[in-house]
Amino acid sequence: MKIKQSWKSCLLIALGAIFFLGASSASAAQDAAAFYRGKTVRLVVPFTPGGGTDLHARLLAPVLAKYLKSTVVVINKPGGGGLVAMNDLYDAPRTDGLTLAVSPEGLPFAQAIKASGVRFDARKFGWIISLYKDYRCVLVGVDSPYKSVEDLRKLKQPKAAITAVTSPAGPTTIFAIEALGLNNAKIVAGYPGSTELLLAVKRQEADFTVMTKSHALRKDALVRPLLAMEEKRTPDYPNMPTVTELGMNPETKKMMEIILMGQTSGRAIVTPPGVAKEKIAFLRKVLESVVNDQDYLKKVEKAGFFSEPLSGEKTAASVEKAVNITPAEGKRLQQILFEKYF
Amino acid sequence: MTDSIIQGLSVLFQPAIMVGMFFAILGGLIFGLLPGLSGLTFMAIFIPFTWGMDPFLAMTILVAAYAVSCTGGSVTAVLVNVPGTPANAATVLDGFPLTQQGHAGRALGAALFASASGGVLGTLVLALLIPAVTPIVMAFGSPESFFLIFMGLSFIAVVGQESKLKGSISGLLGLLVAFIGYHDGTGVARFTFGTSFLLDGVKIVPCALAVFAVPEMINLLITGRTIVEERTVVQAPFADIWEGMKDVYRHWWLHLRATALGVFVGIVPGVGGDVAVWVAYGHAKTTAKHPETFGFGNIEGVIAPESANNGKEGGAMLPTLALGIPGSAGMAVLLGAFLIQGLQPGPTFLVEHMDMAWTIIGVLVVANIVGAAICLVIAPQLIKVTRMRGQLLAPFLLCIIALGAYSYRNSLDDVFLMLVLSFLGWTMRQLGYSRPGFFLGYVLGGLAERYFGISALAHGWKFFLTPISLVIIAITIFSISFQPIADYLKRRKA
Amino acid sequence: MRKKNIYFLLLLLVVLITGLVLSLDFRPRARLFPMIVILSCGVLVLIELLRTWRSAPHPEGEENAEAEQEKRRRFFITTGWLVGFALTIWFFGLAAGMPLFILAYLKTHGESWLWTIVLPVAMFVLVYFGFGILLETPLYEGWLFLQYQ
Repeated sequence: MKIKQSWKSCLLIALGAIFFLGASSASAAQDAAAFYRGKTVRLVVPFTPGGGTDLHARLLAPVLAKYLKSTVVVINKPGGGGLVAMNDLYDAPRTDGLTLAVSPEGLPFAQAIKASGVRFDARKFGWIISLYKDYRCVLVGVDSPYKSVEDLRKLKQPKAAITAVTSPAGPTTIFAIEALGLNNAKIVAGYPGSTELLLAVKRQEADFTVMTKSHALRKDALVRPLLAMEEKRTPDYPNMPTVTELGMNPETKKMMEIILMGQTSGRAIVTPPGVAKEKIAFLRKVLESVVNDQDYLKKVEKAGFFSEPLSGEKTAASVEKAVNITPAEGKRLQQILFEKYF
Repeated sequence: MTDSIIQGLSVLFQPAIMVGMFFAILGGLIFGLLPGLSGLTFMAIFIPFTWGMDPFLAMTILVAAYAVSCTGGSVTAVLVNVPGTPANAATVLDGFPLTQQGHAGRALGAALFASASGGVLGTLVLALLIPAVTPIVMAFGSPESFFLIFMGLSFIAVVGQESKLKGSISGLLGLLVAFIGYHDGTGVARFTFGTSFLLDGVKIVPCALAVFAVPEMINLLITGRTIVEERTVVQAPFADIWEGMKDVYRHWWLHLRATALGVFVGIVPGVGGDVAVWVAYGHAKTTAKHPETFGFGNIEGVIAPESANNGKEGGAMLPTLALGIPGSAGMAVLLGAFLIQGLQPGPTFLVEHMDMAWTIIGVLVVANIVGAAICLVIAPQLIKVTRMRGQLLAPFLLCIIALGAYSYRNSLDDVFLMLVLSFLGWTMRQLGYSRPGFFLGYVLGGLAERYFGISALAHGWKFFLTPISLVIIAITIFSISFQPIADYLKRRKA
Repeated sequence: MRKKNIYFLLLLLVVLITGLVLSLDFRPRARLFPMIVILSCGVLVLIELLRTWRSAPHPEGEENAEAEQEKRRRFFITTGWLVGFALTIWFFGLAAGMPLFILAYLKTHGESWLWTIVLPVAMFVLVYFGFGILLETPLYEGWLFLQYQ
């Protein structure tokens, strides 16, 4: 009799617990929704107004506001290639969840190679969603005589143009050189921005650069792609090989994986560290809806942007992997990036 | 072709467009006037509103506001020594002394008329040069850009007033300040003392304000006087303004040259329009009859930079529209606006949307004229500000200046940096070190190093051997040595 | 004047030497330009130092000693006000700090009530409504108000 009774009460307690947990998580979600309603959310863009990231953020903001039922204000905090804003986000975190930021591409990678000026731990940010990731290719001038990467290999001293070593495309460019085995390559660094890179390559001041394929796809493009610095081929250029298809020695292959992994997080929306789990979960759901919203997708298409979202959980996982490289790997990366070709 | 021209220009007469343009001009003037804000800021703020807006209206508003921001900026530059935008920094050198001497109207008249005329001429050049733009932009690689900047640097010794030695020291200090921050080429953070905020270096707006504007405020606070000495007779405003406008006509050849310099430097992407005004000023000084009067209220020192800073926008618009390559930071933002409308500037754009290109040209012309006209009309009222007591005016202006430094990138640190730097500015002012020289070194330092590095890497040590580079080097040597040689020959004759 | 020049040049030398020491840690290409600039500037500073040292001291120096003192006093007072300005903004934030500063300054300098009220209010409107609301600039709230967040 006693055992039966205690069994029943256990069941009741268990049921009660499940019900309670379910209810509390539901109400937590409801709490989060209620929390955001009517408030002002700041979306920090770590770049100057008018640039690609800024425009994309401003495109997203009203749609996000619609789903959050709040006001979303875009704030620009340029500096250090995006590092200044991310450092600030990390150092003085606003844990209320009302501050979001658009993380620059390659953020975890900058941390992995211990780039000068990095003060954050990318793993501690709340990764909400990745909006898209640039599809990067080796680009040559549209009038240049290079038809394939073989032509680059034949050059005595191929010149690659980059803006900065720690820019999003800097490491990819250097690793293109590594992967192609261009041991005599010279890196011409210091160009102010993507415009100047395109011009340099078109003028043949440099032989190639690595940037997103959209520069080759636009009307009156100045450049042509030769090789994709990605894992899969793109339907825009079905005959263009990818870097993973090239034969590489295992060490270079490992380094390449690290780079590609470091870029997976793409342009993502993050919260500062320390924001409550319920709010992060809620935001993840909201952003899922946002990137599937017809209005948003239409605007993105019209502006020539892309939308290839990756969920928050997957993004966080890729960040975790990207940052966790062994010290030996880190050193090797640093040596290749900062010393080998300079 | 004529069809598109007519169609494009006729858009300007639509009521919605006219109203939009008017408000955009007002907005652009106000933004230009306030330090720290500029046409660029206006565009960035306005862009989200252009979703779903008629493309012609959107472009009209953006271009109109952007075109007049330097015009608005010249007003504060002349009246209170506060450059409204960095492109007005050279205007303070002679504009403010003129105000102090009671000739604010004349300075304003010259500045505004030069701005309007420079803007219109620059736009006409834009229209004419569209077919030729590709070869020009392609011909200007990194070595050529470097030598343009080098020419600017050579003016450091020239732009100051006191000894060339002190001027050179100032210039080198400016260069040093330019090196603060993250060096792209090698991935090294230089002179940042571990702070994240110095990672991007010292920014142009806080620097310009710290060097030119705040020391003047400090002076007003210390002396408590008015900008214009109480005993000085201030000329009757309208007559004086008219005098200033006539001055542009009297110096029309200088005006043309300065505008041309502005347009030309504006066309070259990557060099930046802020350089153009200094090249124009330096050129004006080296070719003037009385260079020693520069910095003390020589009207030529007002005409040259103001012609250049409006001309540069016509120049910058050229590669933007014709190639889809932004000629300046503002143009990059404008490109973004085009993208949002689903348009993509470039050769195809010019063929398919020639009418819009002409609308933009028309807007540039009209906005420049209307903007200057508005300023000229309210100028007499604004001039009254210079009769306010320093103790009344300075705190208020100081706050506006600080607000400007803050809003440049929403950073309080910039305000503090500006205040700290302004003590350097004040010291330089008191001890006779050339502040324009310093500022010139600062503006050009980073660019010079960057393009030198790229040129040396890409072309090896013979990078100066390209034809255009050699031409620029020749012009530079000529400009610098013109005065001393002329003086020497004069002395030999005597 | 001569003395001030010399102090300034000496200060510059200190700054330049610091810069030189710091730049020795940079990679070769990163330190090339800074070192060229520092060394050239150093040479010029030394020459100017020598020149100023050799030049005769200004005769006015002694006569206007009192005016000099007065100027110096006012300079330090103004510096104090500027430091106060920075602190006020840091403490009270932009929207509150700027009007407060103007108010304080005008009041202590005995300006008329009209200006003491109009100018701070105008500044508040400009900052709060113009920049804060119209331009959506995020206004720094000030250490004081951040404590209550």
